[in-house]
Amino acid sequence: MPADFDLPTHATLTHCLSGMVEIAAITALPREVAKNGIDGQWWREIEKPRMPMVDEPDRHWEWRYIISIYQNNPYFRAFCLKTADEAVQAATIYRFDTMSAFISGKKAVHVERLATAPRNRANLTHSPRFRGCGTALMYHAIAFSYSLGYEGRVNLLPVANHAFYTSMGFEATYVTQDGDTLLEIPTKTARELLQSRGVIDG
Amino acid sequence: MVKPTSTPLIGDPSIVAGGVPLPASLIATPPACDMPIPTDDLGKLLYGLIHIYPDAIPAELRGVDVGSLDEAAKQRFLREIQQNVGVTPMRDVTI
Repeated sequence: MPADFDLPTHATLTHCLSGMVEIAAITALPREVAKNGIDGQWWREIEKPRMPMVDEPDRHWEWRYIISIYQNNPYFRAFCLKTADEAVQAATIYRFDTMSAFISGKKAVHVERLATAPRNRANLTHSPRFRGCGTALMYHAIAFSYSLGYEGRVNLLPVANHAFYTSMGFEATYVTQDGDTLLEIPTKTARELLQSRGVIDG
Repeated sequence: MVKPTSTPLIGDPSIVAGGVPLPASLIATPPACDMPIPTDDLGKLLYGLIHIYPDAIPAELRGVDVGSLDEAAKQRFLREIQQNVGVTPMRDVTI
């Protein structure tokens, strides 16, 4: 039985170099981990980026600061994906006092932040370390939504790689903000994704 | 299970979302109450659900300071709220 409010605690990643599967832990993201495991590492370890890192939409994000803003708000939760070496491979913050853009009056989890570690980005490094980090946290967001009684509905404002989300089943909504279109995964698609991963019964 | 390969796999693209303010029309923060907000994750989650699902709260939890509950009680009440809103337990810890 999953431990933390019924949420999945692990995810499968693929090691790019070997093709082997690695099980990573999904844990809460406290401020200290954000400071040391993200701010202190993510951008410093990329020595010869394939493209200017400043072009990455999250290059200026300070996770320690972001966590400190939300940490006392009961409607926000932060998680990260950690491999066995304690390296943070991706991080996310969910907000759950939020509504669906598709179904009036229904709730949806909003992904306030999501980013994978630069070491895992094929556009930044010639030898990315893991595949599947972003996908794992998207499934986790859907599972979180399900566990809250929101039936898996999740929405977000993608600031890079729109196609990644639409390939998972997210659909464009009527909502735009600062030029970005809000995407949302419909209930049926969310349920099918969780079923396909064996997280819920068919 | 993915088999080992001699050819390195291509990594994922930059997967980044958020950091953009959500329109107010999609925010529905429940009114606050006198209950102090717990400091632990589980307590905060329970606090949030009590406010989101006021009609699904177990009777014995009404008026209780969530922060005063132990871990087992928080888990039990969370499970009860989940049952009351129709959430069935998940089957697997790995996604």
